[in-house]
Amino acid sequence: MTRQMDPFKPKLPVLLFFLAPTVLLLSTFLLWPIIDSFRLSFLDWNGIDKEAKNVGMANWIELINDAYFRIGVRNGFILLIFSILIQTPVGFGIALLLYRAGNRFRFFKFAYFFPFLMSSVAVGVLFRQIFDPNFGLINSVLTQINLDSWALDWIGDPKIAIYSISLLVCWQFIPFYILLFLAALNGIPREIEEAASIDGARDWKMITKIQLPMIKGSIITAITLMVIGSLKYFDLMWVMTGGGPVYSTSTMATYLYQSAFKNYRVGYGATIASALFIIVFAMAMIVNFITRKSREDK
Amino acid sequence: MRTQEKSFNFGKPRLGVSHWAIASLWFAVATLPFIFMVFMGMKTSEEQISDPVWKLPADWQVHNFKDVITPQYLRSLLNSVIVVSVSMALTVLIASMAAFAFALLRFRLNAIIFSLVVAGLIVPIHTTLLPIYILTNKLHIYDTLAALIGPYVAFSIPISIFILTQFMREIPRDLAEASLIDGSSIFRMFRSIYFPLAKNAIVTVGIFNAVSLWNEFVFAYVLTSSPNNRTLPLAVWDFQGQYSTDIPALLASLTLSAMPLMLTYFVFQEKLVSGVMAGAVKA
Repeated sequence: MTRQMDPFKPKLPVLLFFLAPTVLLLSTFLLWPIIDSFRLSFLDWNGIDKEAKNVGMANWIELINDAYFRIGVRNGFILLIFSILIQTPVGFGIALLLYRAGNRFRFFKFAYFFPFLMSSVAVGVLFRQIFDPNFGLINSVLTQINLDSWALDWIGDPKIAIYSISLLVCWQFIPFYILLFLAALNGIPREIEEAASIDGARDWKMITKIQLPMIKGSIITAITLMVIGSLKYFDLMWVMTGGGPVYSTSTMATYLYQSAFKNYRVGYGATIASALFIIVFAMAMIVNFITRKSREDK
Repeated sequence: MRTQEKSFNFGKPRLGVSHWAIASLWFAVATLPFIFMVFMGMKTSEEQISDPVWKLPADWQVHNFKDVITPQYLRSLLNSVIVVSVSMALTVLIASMAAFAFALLRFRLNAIIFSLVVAGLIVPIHTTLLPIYILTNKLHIYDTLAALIGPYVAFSIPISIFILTQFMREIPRDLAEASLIDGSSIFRMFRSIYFPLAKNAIVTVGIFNAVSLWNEFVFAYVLTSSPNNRTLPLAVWDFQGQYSTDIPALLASLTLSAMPLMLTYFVFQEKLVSGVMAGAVKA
Protein backbone atom coordinates (compact mmCIF):
# COMPACT_ATOMS: atom_id res chain seq x y z
CA MET A 1 0.00 0.00 0.00
CA THR A 2 1.51 3.34 -0.96
CA ARG A 3 1.63 6.21 1.46
CA GLN A 4 -1.09 8.25 -0.22
CA MET A 5 -3.44 5.32 -0.02
CA ASP A 6 -3.06 4.80 3.72
CA PRO A 7 -6.73 5.13 4.66
CA PHE A 8 -5.94 6.19 8.20
CA LYS A 9 -3.93 9.15 7.03
CA PRO A 10 -6.67 11.72 6.47
CA LYS A 11 -6.63 14.76 4.23
CA LEU A 12 -6.39 18.08 6.07
CA PRO A 13 -10.10 19.04 5.80
CA VAL A 14 -11.13 15.70 7.30
CA LEU A 15 -8.66 16.14 10.13
CA LEU A 16 -9.91 19.67 10.75
CA PHE A 17 -13.47 18.43 10.90
CA PHE A 18 -12.60 16.14 13.81
CA LEU A 19 -10.16 18.35 15.68
CA ALA A 20 -11.09 21.97 14.96
CA PRO A 21 -13.86 22.26 17.60
CA THR A 22 -11.55 20.94 20.31
CA VAL A 23 -8.62 23.12 19.31
CA LEU A 24 -10.83 26.17 18.99
CA LEU A 25 -12.51 25.74 22.37
CA LEU A 26 -9.31 24.97 24.24
CA SER A 27 -7.53 27.93 22.67
CA THR A 28 -10.36 30.31 23.50
CA PHE A 29 -11.11 29.23 27.05
CA LEU A 30 -7.84 27.73 28.32
CA LEU A 31 -4.79 28.78 26.34
CA TRP A 32 -5.64 32.36 25.47
CA PRO A 33 -6.88 33.26 28.99
CA ILE A 34 -3.58 32.05 30.48
CA ILE A 35 -1.67 34.33 28.14
CA ASP A 36 -4.11 37.18 28.71
CA SER A 37 -3.75 36.82 32.49
CA PHE A 38 -0.05 37.45 32.13
CA ARG A 39 -0.77 40.53 30.01
CA LEU A 40 -3.26 41.88 32.57
CA SER A 41 -0.76 41.29 35.37
CA PHE A 42 1.27 44.29 34.17
CA LEU A 43 -1.72 46.64 34.45
CA ASP A 44 -3.30 48.72 37.15
CA TRP A 45 -6.98 48.48 36.25
CA ASN A 46 -10.24 48.51 38.23
CA GLY A 47 -12.08 46.54 35.54
CA ILE A 48 -14.54 49.36 34.84
CA ASP A 49 -12.57 52.25 33.30
CA LYS A 50 -11.72 52.27 29.63
CA GLU A 51 -8.14 53.14 30.45
CA ALA A 52 -5.74 50.81 32.20
CA LYS A 53 -2.37 52.00 33.42
CA ASN A 54 0.74 50.02 32.61
CA VAL A 55 2.69 49.51 35.82
CA GLY A 56 5.35 47.08 34.65
CA MET A 57 6.51 44.67 37.31
CA ALA A 58 4.87 46.54 40.20
CA ASN A 59 2.14 43.91 40.73
CA TRP A 60 4.67 41.09 40.71
CA ILE A 61 6.91 42.86 43.22
CA GLU A 62 3.90 43.48 45.45
CA LEU A 63 2.90 39.82 45.16
CA ILE A 64 6.29 38.55 46.27
CA ASN A 65 6.08 40.70 49.41
CA ASP A 66 2.39 40.05 50.03
CA ALA A 67 1.87 38.19 53.32
CA TYR A 68 -1.76 37.36 52.42
CA PHE A 69 -0.67 35.68 49.22
CA ARG A 70 1.83 33.65 51.21
CA ILE A 71 -0.98 32.53 53.53
CA GLY A 72 -2.82 31.36 50.41
CA VAL A 73 0.19 29.33 49.26
CA ARG A 74 0.68 27.89 52.75
CA ASN A 75 -2.99 26.91 53.02
CA GLY A 76 -2.81 25.25 49.61
CA PHE A 77 0.02 23.07 50.87
CA ILE A 78 -1.78 22.33 54.15
CA LEU A 79 -4.74 21.11 52.12
CA LEU A 80 -2.40 19.10 49.90
CA ILE A 81 -0.75 17.35 52.86
CA PHE A 82 -4.16 16.58 54.39
CA SER A 83 -5.35 15.23 51.04
CA ILE A 84 -2.39 12.93 50.49
CA LEU A 85 -2.24 11.67 54.08
CA ILE A 86 -5.99 11.15 54.49
CA GLN A 87 -7.59 10.61 51.09
CA THR A 88 -5.03 8.14 49.76
CA PRO A 89 -5.08 5.62 52.64
CA VAL A 90 -8.81 5.95 53.38
CA GLY A 91 -9.70 5.80 49.70
CA PHE A 92 -7.48 2.78 49.12
CA GLY A 93 -8.66 1.02 52.28
CA ILE A 94 -12.32 1.36 51.41
CA ALA A 95 -11.71 0.47 47.76
CA LEU A 96 -9.97 -2.68 48.96
CA LEU A 97 -12.91 -3.47 51.20
CA LEU A 98 -15.42 -3.02 48.39
CA TYR A 99 -13.24 -5.04 46.04
CA ARG A 100 -13.10 -7.86 48.54
CA ALA A 101 -16.82 -7.63 49.13
CA GLY A 102 -17.62 -8.02 45.42
CA ASN A 103 -21.37 -8.27 45.07
CA ARG A 104 -22.01 -7.89 48.78
CA PHE A 105 -22.25 -4.48 50.48
CA ARG A 106 -24.43 -3.13 47.65
CA PHE A 107 -26.35 -0.94 50.04
CA PHE A 108 -23.18 0.50 51.55
CA LYS A 109 -21.77 1.09 48.09
CA PHE A 110 -24.71 3.26 47.18
CA ALA A 111 -24.36 5.47 50.25
CA TYR A 112 -20.58 5.66 50.03
CA PHE A 113 -20.62 8.23 47.26
CA PHE A 114 -23.08 10.68 48.79
CA PRO A 115 -20.46 13.29 49.76
CA PHE A 116 -19.24 13.48 46.18
CA LEU A 117 -22.74 14.09 44.80
CA MET A 118 -23.50 17.26 46.72
CA SER A 119 -22.42 20.60 45.37
CA SER A 120 -19.70 22.42 47.27
CA VAL A 121 -22.16 25.18 48.07
CA ALA A 122 -24.57 22.72 49.66
CA VAL A 123 -21.77 20.97 51.57
CA GLY A 124 -20.43 24.31 52.78
CA VAL A 125 -23.78 25.64 53.93
CA LEU A 126 -24.67 22.33 55.57
CA PHE A 127 -21.39 22.05 57.44
CA ARG A 128 -21.59 25.63 58.62
CA GLN A 129 -24.55 24.33 60.61
CA ILE A 130 -22.78 21.13 61.66
CA PHE A 131 -19.69 23.07 62.79
CA ASP A 132 -21.76 25.74 64.56
CA PRO A 133 -20.21 26.28 68.03
CA ASN A 134 -23.60 26.43 69.81
CA PHE A 135 -26.23 24.51 67.87
CA GLY A 136 -24.04 22.38 65.61
CA LEU A 137 -24.15 18.61 65.41
CA ILE A 138 -20.53 18.11 66.47
CA ASN A 139 -20.52 20.31 69.54
CA SER A 140 -23.97 19.13 70.68
CA VAL A 141 -22.70 15.56 70.70
CA LEU A 142 -19.43 16.52 72.41
CA THR A 143 -21.19 18.43 75.21
CA GLN A 144 -23.63 15.59 75.68
CA ILE A 145 -20.83 13.10 76.32
CA ASN A 146 -19.11 15.59 78.65
CA LEU A 147 -16.26 16.48 76.34
CA ASP A 148 -17.00 20.20 76.58
CA SER A 149 -13.35 21.11 76.29
CA TRP A 150 -13.27 19.45 72.86
CA ALA A 151 -16.15 21.54 71.61
CA LEU A 152 -14.21 24.13 69.66
CA ASP A 153 -15.28 26.93 67.37
CA TRP A 154 -14.36 24.82 64.36
CA ILE A 155 -14.49 27.41 61.62
CA GLY A 156 -14.59 30.59 63.72
CA ASP A 157 -11.21 30.15 65.39
CA PRO A 158 -8.45 31.34 63.02
CA LYS A 159 -6.02 28.82 64.51
CA ILE A 160 -8.02 25.73 63.54
CA ALA A 161 -10.43 26.83 60.78
CA ILE A 162 -8.11 25.80 57.95
CA TYR A 163 -7.74 22.30 59.39
CA SER A 164 -11.50 21.85 59.84
CA ILE A 165 -12.17 22.87 56.27
CA SER A 166 -9.29 20.76 54.92
CA LEU A 167 -10.78 17.71 56.65
CA LEU A 168 -14.12 18.53 55.08
CA VAL A 169 -12.55 18.75 51.62
CA CYS A 170 -11.14 15.25 52.22
CA TRP A 171 -14.58 14.04 53.24
CA GLN A 172 -16.01 15.39 50.00
CA PHE A 173 -13.40 13.84 47.69
CA ILE A 174 -12.70 10.45 49.32
CA PRO A 175 -15.56 8.84 47.32
CA PHE A 176 -13.90 9.90 44.09
CA TYR A 177 -10.65 8.20 45.09
CA ILE A 178 -12.53 5.10 46.24
CA LEU A 179 -13.90 4.87 42.70
CA LEU A 180 -10.50 5.43 41.15
CA PHE A 181 -8.76 2.78 43.27
CA LEU A 182 -11.63 0.33 42.96
CA ALA A 183 -11.40 0.62 39.19
CA ALA A 184 -7.65 -0.01 39.33
CA LEU A 185 -8.05 -3.03 41.61
CA ASN A 186 -10.58 -4.47 39.20
CA GLY A 187 -8.02 -4.03 36.45
CA ILE A 188 -5.48 -6.39 38.05
CA PRO A 189 -5.37 -9.60 35.99
CA ARG A 190 -7.02 -12.34 37.98
CA GLU A 191 -4.29 -14.87 37.17
CA ILE A 192 -1.75 -12.84 39.14
CA GLU A 193 -3.88 -12.80 42.27
CA GLU A 194 -4.73 -16.47 41.90
CA ALA A 195 -1.09 -17.41 41.47
CA ALA A 196 -0.14 -15.40 44.54
CA SER A 197 -2.97 -16.96 46.48
CA ILE A 198 -1.83 -20.48 45.51
CA ASP A 199 1.66 -19.51 46.67
CA GLY A 200 0.11 -18.83 50.05
CA ALA A 201 -0.16 -15.03 49.98
CA ARG A 202 -2.92 -13.97 52.38
CA ASP A 203 -4.48 -10.65 53.26
CA TRP A 204 -1.62 -8.39 54.28
CA LYS A 205 0.94 -9.93 51.98
CA MET A 206 -1.51 -9.88 49.08
CA ILE A 207 -2.07 -6.16 49.67
CA THR A 208 1.54 -5.09 50.03
CA LYS A 209 3.15 -7.43 47.51
CA ILE A 210 0.49 -7.65 44.80
CA GLN A 211 -2.37 -5.16 44.99
CA LEU A 212 -0.52 -2.03 46.07
CA PRO A 213 2.31 -2.37 43.50
CA MET A 214 -0.15 -3.28 40.74
CA ILE A 215 -2.16 -0.10 41.14
CA LYS A 216 0.86 2.18 41.56
CA GLY A 217 -0.12 3.98 38.37
CA SER A 218 -3.50 4.95 39.78
CA ILE A 219 -1.97 6.10 43.05
CA ILE A 220 0.33 8.38 41.08
CA THR A 221 -2.68 9.67 39.11
CA ALA A 222 -4.50 10.28 42.40
CA ILE A 223 -1.60 12.19 43.93
CA THR A 224 -1.21 14.28 40.79
CA LEU A 225 -4.91 15.16 40.91
CA MET A 226 -4.57 16.06 44.61
CA VAL A 227 -1.59 18.34 43.94
CA ILE A 228 -3.46 20.20 41.21
CA GLY A 229 -6.79 20.25 43.04
CA SER A 230 -5.46 21.38 46.43
CA LEU A 231 -3.32 24.25 45.23
CA LYS A 232 -6.12 25.78 43.16
CA TYR A 233 -8.86 25.04 45.70
CA PHE A 234 -11.59 27.64 46.19
CA ASP A 235 -15.11 26.40 46.85
CA LEU A 236 -15.49 25.44 50.51
CA MET A 237 -13.22 28.19 51.79
CA TRP A 238 -15.25 30.75 49.92
CA VAL A 239 -18.65 29.35 50.89
CA MET A 240 -17.90 28.69 54.56
CA THR A 241 -15.66 31.52 55.68
CA GLY A 242 -14.96 33.69 52.66
CA GLY A 243 -11.27 33.07 53.37
CA GLY A 244 -11.60 34.40 56.92
CA PRO A 245 -11.46 34.82 59.82
CA VAL A 246 -8.67 37.34 59.14
CA TYR A 247 -7.44 35.50 56.02
CA SER A 248 -6.75 32.33 58.04
CA THR A 249 -8.50 30.11 55.46
CA SER A 250 -7.65 32.15 52.41
CA THR A 251 -6.31 30.22 49.40
CA MET A 252 -4.64 31.60 46.28
CA ALA A 253 -7.95 31.32 44.47
CA THR A 254 -10.06 33.05 47.14
CA TYR A 255 -7.46 35.82 47.39
CA LEU A 256 -7.54 36.16 43.62
CA TYR A 257 -11.32 36.45 43.67
CA GLN A 258 -11.23 38.96 46.49
CA SER A 259 -8.62 41.16 44.79
CA ALA A 260 -10.25 41.18 41.37
CA PHE A 261 -13.96 41.20 42.13
CA LYS A 262 -14.24 42.67 45.63
CA ASN A 263 -11.37 45.17 45.72
CA TYR A 264 -11.62 45.90 41.97
CA ARG A 265 -7.93 45.32 41.38
CA VAL A 266 -8.13 43.34 38.16
CA GLY A 267 -4.43 43.70 37.37
CA TYR A 268 -3.39 42.38 40.76
CA GLY A 269 -5.97 39.59 40.54
CA ALA A 270 -4.47 38.59 37.20
CA THR A 271 -1.03 38.56 38.81
CA ILE A 272 -2.28 36.11 41.44
CA ALA A 273 -3.94 34.09 38.66
CA SER A 274 -0.67 33.89 36.74
CA ALA A 275 1.30 32.96 39.85
CA LEU A 276 -1.30 30.28 40.61
CA PHE A 277 -0.80 28.85 37.14
CA ILE A 278 3.00 28.88 37.48
CA ILE A 279 2.86 27.16 40.88
CA VAL A 280 0.36 24.49 39.79
CA PHE A 281 2.25 23.87 36.57
CA ALA A 282 5.61 23.62 38.37
CA MET A 283 4.22 21.24 40.98
CA ALA A 284 2.63 19.06 38.30
CA MET A 285 6.01 18.93 36.52
CA ILE A 286 7.80 18.02 39.76
CA VAL A 287 5.35 15.20 40.48
CA ASN A 288 5.72 14.05 36.91
CA PHE A 289 9.52 14.06 37.25
CA ILE A 290 9.61 12.26 40.60
CA THR A 291 7.23 9.56 39.42
CA ARG A 292 8.77 9.12 35.99
CA LYS A 293 11.05 6.35 37.09
CA SER A 294 8.35 4.27 38.69
CA ARG A 295 6.12 4.72 35.66
CA GLU A 296 8.88 3.56 33.34
CA ASP A 297 9.39 0.45 35.47
CA LYS A 298 5.91 -0.77 34.67
CA MET B 1 -20.77 -6.96 34.69
CA ARG B 2 -17.38 -8.43 34.09
CA THR B 3 -15.79 -6.86 37.13
CA GLN B 4 -18.32 -8.26 39.50
CA GLU B 5 -18.18 -11.76 38.10
CA LYS B 6 -14.49 -11.56 38.63
CA SER B 7 -14.61 -10.96 42.36
CA PHE B 8 -17.35 -13.57 42.54
CA ASN B 9 -15.30 -16.34 40.97
CA PHE B 10 -12.38 -15.39 43.08
CA GLY B 11 -13.27 -17.80 45.85
CA LYS B 12 -15.43 -15.16 47.55
CA PRO B 13 -13.09 -13.86 50.28
CA ARG B 14 -14.36 -13.91 53.82
CA LEU B 15 -15.57 -10.71 55.44
CA GLY B 16 -14.63 -10.53 59.11
CA VAL B 17 -15.84 -8.32 61.92
CA SER B 18 -13.18 -5.71 61.13
CA HIS B 19 -14.44 -5.45 57.54
CA TRP B 20 -17.97 -4.87 58.72
CA ALA B 21 -16.75 -2.33 61.27
CA ILE B 22 -14.84 -0.31 58.68
CA ALA B 23 -17.73 -0.54 56.24
CA SER B 24 -20.16 0.76 58.85
CA LEU B 25 -17.80 3.50 60.00
CA TRP B 26 -17.45 5.06 56.56
CA PHE B 27 -21.16 4.54 56.02
CA ALA B 28 -21.81 6.64 59.12
CA VAL B 29 -19.28 9.32 58.18
CA ALA B 30 -20.70 9.56 54.66
CA THR B 31 -24.38 9.59 55.55
CA LEU B 32 -24.80 11.23 58.98
CA PRO B 33 -24.55 14.77 57.59
CA PHE B 34 -27.33 13.92 55.11
CA ILE B 35 -29.53 12.46 57.77
CA PHE B 36 -28.94 15.60 59.84
CA MET B 37 -29.86 17.72 56.82
CA VAL B 38 -33.06 15.86 56.03
CA PHE B 39 -34.36 15.69 59.61
CA MET B 40 -33.35 19.21 60.51
CA GLY B 41 -35.17 20.38 57.40
CA MET B 42 -38.43 19.13 58.95
CA LYS B 43 -38.14 20.84 62.33
CA THR B 44 -39.50 24.22 63.32
CA SER B 45 -37.06 27.07 63.89
CA GLU B 46 -37.84 26.96 67.63
CA GLU B 47 -37.08 23.25 67.88
CA GLN B 48 -33.86 23.77 66.03
CA ILE B 49 -32.67 26.18 68.71
CA SER B 50 -34.13 24.61 71.86
CA ASP B 51 -33.98 20.84 71.27
CA PRO B 52 -30.88 18.64 71.06
CA VAL B 53 -29.92 17.95 67.43
CA TRP B 54 -30.64 14.23 67.56
CA LYS B 55 -34.19 14.68 68.85
CA LEU B 56 -36.68 13.91 66.10
CA PRO B 57 -39.07 16.67 65.12
CA ALA B 58 -42.20 16.70 67.34
CA ASP B 59 -44.33 17.66 64.41
CA TRP B 60 -42.84 16.92 60.99
CA GLN B 61 -42.77 20.17 59.06
CA VAL B 62 -43.00 18.62 55.61
CA HIS B 63 -44.29 21.93 54.34
CA ASN B 64 -40.75 23.31 54.74
CA PHE B 65 -39.92 21.46 51.56
CA LYS B 66 -43.02 22.68 49.78
CA ASP B 67 -42.27 26.24 50.82
CA VAL B 68 -38.84 26.07 49.26
CA ILE B 69 -40.20 25.03 45.86
CA THR B 70 -40.82 28.56 44.72
CA PRO B 71 -41.03 29.69 41.09
CA GLN B 72 -37.46 30.90 41.62
CA TYR B 73 -36.29 27.43 42.63
CA LEU B 74 -37.97 25.86 39.62
CA ARG B 75 -36.42 28.49 37.39
CA SER B 76 -32.94 27.66 38.72
CA LEU B 77 -33.63 23.96 38.34
CA LEU B 78 -34.64 24.54 34.73
CA ASN B 79 -31.54 26.68 34.13
CA SER B 80 -29.31 23.94 35.51
CA VAL B 81 -31.01 21.30 33.38
CA ILE B 82 -30.60 23.43 30.24
CA VAL B 83 -26.98 24.43 30.80
CA VAL B 84 -25.85 20.98 31.90
CA SER B 85 -27.60 19.06 29.13
CA VAL B 86 -26.46 21.39 26.35
CA SER B 87 -22.87 21.44 27.66
CA MET B 88 -22.87 17.70 28.15
CA ALA B 89 -24.20 16.98 24.66
CA LEU B 90 -21.63 19.29 23.06
CA THR B 91 -18.80 17.86 25.16
CA VAL B 92 -19.68 14.29 24.25
CA LEU B 93 -19.92 15.08 20.54
CA ILE B 94 -16.76 17.21 20.30
CA ALA B 95 -14.68 14.98 22.58
CA SER B 96 -15.64 11.75 20.84
CA MET B 97 -14.76 13.25 17.47
CA ALA B 98 -11.35 14.31 18.71
CA ALA B 99 -10.80 11.01 20.54
CA PHE B 100 -11.60 9.16 17.31
CA ALA B 101 -8.92 11.16 15.49
CA PHE B 102 -6.34 10.62 18.25
CA ALA B 103 -7.08 6.91 18.53
CA LEU B 104 -7.36 5.94 14.89
CA LEU B 105 -6.00 8.51 12.46
CA ARG B 106 -2.35 8.96 11.56
CA PHE B 107 -1.12 12.52 11.33
CA ARG B 108 2.14 14.15 12.18
CA LEU B 109 1.24 16.08 15.35
CA ASN B 110 -1.03 13.41 16.82
CA ALA B 111 0.99 12.69 19.96
CA ILE B 112 1.86 16.34 20.57
CA ILE B 113 -1.68 17.69 20.24
CA PHE B 114 -2.97 14.84 22.38
CA SER B 115 -0.56 15.68 25.20
CA LEU B 116 -1.42 19.37 24.94
CA VAL B 117 -5.11 18.56 25.26
CA VAL B 118 -4.48 16.37 28.28
CA ALA B 119 -2.26 19.08 29.78
CA GLY B 120 -5.46 21.14 29.84
CA LEU B 121 -6.35 19.09 32.92
CA ILE B 122 -3.96 21.09 35.05
CA VAL B 123 -5.21 24.55 34.05
CA PRO B 124 -6.79 26.15 37.14
CA ILE B 125 -10.24 27.55 36.37
CA HIS B 126 -9.34 30.64 38.35
CA THR B 127 -6.42 31.56 36.13
CA THR B 128 -8.83 31.89 33.22
CA LEU B 129 -11.56 33.63 35.19
CA LEU B 130 -10.71 37.28 34.52
CA PRO B 131 -10.03 36.99 30.77
CA ILE B 132 -13.20 34.91 30.31
CA TYR B 133 -15.17 37.44 32.35
CA ILE B 134 -13.87 40.27 30.16
CA LEU B 135 -14.52 38.28 26.98
CA THR B 136 -18.07 37.51 28.13
CA ASN B 137 -18.71 41.21 28.65
CA LYS B 138 -17.31 42.09 25.24
CA LEU B 139 -19.55 39.52 23.55
CA HIS B 140 -22.56 40.96 25.43
CA ILE B 141 -23.48 37.56 26.82
CA TYR B 142 -22.66 38.41 30.44
CA ASP B 143 -25.46 37.23 32.75
CA THR B 144 -26.94 34.78 30.25
CA LEU B 145 -26.94 30.99 30.30
CA ALA B 146 -25.01 31.06 27.01
CA ALA B 147 -22.02 32.57 28.81
CA LEU B 148 -21.60 29.37 30.81
CA ILE B 149 -21.66 26.88 27.98
CA GLY B 150 -18.31 27.75 26.35
CA PRO B 151 -16.24 27.47 29.55
CA TYR B 152 -18.20 24.40 30.70
CA VAL B 153 -17.54 22.51 27.48
CA ALA B 154 -13.92 23.64 27.26
CA PHE B 155 -13.12 22.55 30.81
CA SER B 156 -14.88 19.18 30.36
CA ILE B 157 -13.08 18.34 27.14
CA PRO B 158 -9.59 17.34 28.37
CA ILE B 159 -10.74 14.61 30.77
CA SER B 160 -13.38 13.41 28.30
CA ILE B 161 -10.93 13.12 25.42
CA PHE B 162 -8.47 11.36 27.70
CA ILE B 163 -10.97 8.69 28.74
CA LEU B 164 -12.53 8.26 25.29
CA THR B 165 -9.20 8.01 23.48
CA GLN B 166 -8.02 5.29 25.87
CA PHE B 167 -11.24 3.45 25.20
CA MET B 168 -11.24 3.82 21.41
CA ARG B 169 -7.65 2.62 21.18
CA GLU B 170 -8.92 -0.74 22.44
CA ILE B 171 -11.40 -1.12 19.59
CA PRO B 172 -9.86 -3.61 17.13
CA ARG B 173 -8.51 -1.89 14.03
CA ASP B 174 -9.67 -4.83 11.88
CA LEU B 175 -13.20 -3.54 12.19
CA ALA B 176 -12.23 -0.20 10.73
CA GLU B 177 -10.15 -1.81 8.01
CA ALA B 178 -12.95 -4.15 7.03
CA SER B 179 -15.37 -1.28 6.72
CA LEU B 180 -12.91 0.57 4.51
CA ILE B 181 -12.78 -2.38 2.13
CA ASP B 182 -16.54 -2.17 1.99
CA GLY B 183 -16.01 1.36 0.77
CA SER B 184 -17.11 3.43 3.74
CA SER B 185 -15.59 6.80 4.42
CA ILE B 186 -13.85 7.93 7.57
CA PHE B 187 -17.00 9.80 8.59
CA ARG B 188 -19.08 6.64 8.22
CA MET B 189 -16.49 4.76 10.22
CA PHE B 190 -16.85 7.24 13.05
CA ARG B 191 -20.62 7.33 12.95
CA SER B 192 -21.45 3.68 12.45
CA ILE B 193 -18.53 1.88 14.13
CA TYR B 194 -16.63 3.94 16.69
CA PHE B 195 -19.41 6.07 18.13
CA PRO B 196 -21.76 3.10 18.74
CA LEU B 197 -18.99 0.83 20.04
CA ALA B 198 -17.77 3.49 22.46
CA LYS B 199 -21.31 3.98 23.75
CA ASN B 200 -20.56 2.78 27.26
CA ALA B 201 -17.55 5.02 27.65
CA ILE B 202 -19.52 7.91 26.19
CA VAL B 203 -22.40 7.44 28.62
CA THR B 204 -19.90 7.39 31.45
CA VAL B 205 -18.13 10.50 30.31
CA GLY B 206 -21.52 12.15 29.99
CA ILE B 207 -22.56 11.24 33.53
CA PHE B 208 -19.20 12.15 34.94
CA ASN B 209 -19.35 15.61 33.37
CA ALA B 210 -22.97 16.04 34.36
CA VAL B 211 -22.06 15.52 38.01
CA SER B 212 -19.29 18.09 38.02
CA LEU B 213 -21.15 20.65 35.89
CA TRP B 214 -24.34 20.28 37.90
CA ASN B 215 -22.40 21.37 40.97
CA GLU B 216 -20.22 23.97 39.27
CA PHE B 217 -19.96 27.15 41.29
CA VAL B 218 -17.20 29.55 40.22
CA PHE B 219 -18.09 30.27 36.60
CA ALA B 220 -21.78 30.51 37.42
CA TYR B 221 -20.96 32.85 40.31
CA VAL B 222 -18.86 35.18 38.16
CA LEU B 223 -20.60 35.04 34.78
CA THR B 224 -24.21 35.43 35.90
CA SER B 225 -25.80 37.84 38.36
CA SER B 226 -29.58 38.05 38.12
CA PRO B 227 -31.75 35.48 39.94
CA ASN B 228 -33.41 34.48 36.68
CA ASN B 229 -30.13 33.27 35.23
CA ARG B 230 -28.78 31.51 38.30
CA THR B 231 -28.14 27.77 38.31
CA LEU B 232 -29.09 25.57 41.25
CA PRO B 233 -25.86 25.88 43.31
CA LEU B 234 -26.13 29.65 42.99
CA ALA B 235 -29.79 29.56 44.00
CA VAL B 236 -28.65 27.82 47.19
CA TRP B 237 -25.99 30.49 47.62
CA ASP B 238 -28.53 33.30 47.23
CA PHE B 239 -31.05 31.47 49.38
CA GLN B 240 -28.67 31.16 52.33
CA GLY B 241 -28.24 34.94 52.25
CA GLN B 242 -32.02 35.45 52.61
CA TYR B 243 -32.76 32.65 55.06
CA SER B 244 -29.77 32.85 57.35
CA THR B 245 -32.12 32.86 60.35
CA ASP B 246 -34.52 30.11 59.28
CA ILE B 247 -32.13 27.16 59.45
CA PRO B 248 -34.72 24.41 58.81
CA ALA B 249 -35.90 26.15 55.63
CA LEU B 250 -32.27 26.51 54.56
CA LEU B 251 -31.60 22.81 55.12
CA ALA B 252 -34.79 21.88 53.27
CA SER B 253 -33.54 23.89 50.31
CA LEU B 254 -30.18 22.09 50.46
CA THR B 255 -31.94 18.73 50.45
CA LEU B 256 -34.00 19.72 47.44
CA SER B 257 -30.94 20.97 45.58
CA ALA B 258 -29.16 17.65 46.14
CA MET B 259 -32.14 15.52 45.12
CA PRO B 260 -31.96 15.65 41.31
CA LEU B 261 -28.38 14.38 41.24
CA MET B 262 -29.02 11.71 43.87
CA LEU B 263 -31.89 10.31 41.79
CA THR B 264 -29.78 10.38 38.64
CA TYR B 265 -26.97 8.64 40.46
CA PHE B 266 -29.37 6.00 41.71
CA VAL B 267 -30.41 5.23 38.14
CA PHE B 268 -26.95 5.30 36.52
CA GLN B 269 -24.84 3.98 39.40
CA GLU B 270 -23.35 1.02 37.53
CA LYS B 271 -22.46 3.06 34.47
CA LEU B 272 -20.72 5.68 36.53
CA VAL B 273 -18.53 3.14 38.25
CA SER B 274 -17.69 1.24 35.07
CA GLY B 275 -16.87 4.44 33.23
CA VAL B 276 -14.47 5.75 35.79
CA MET B 277 -12.79 2.40 35.38
CA ALA B 278 -12.33 2.94 31.68
CA GLY B 279 -10.19 5.94 32.46
CA ALA B 280 -8.48 4.81 35.61
CA VAL B 281 -7.07 1.49 34.53
CA LYS B 282 -4.71 3.02 32.04
CA ALA B 283 -3.98 6.33 33.70
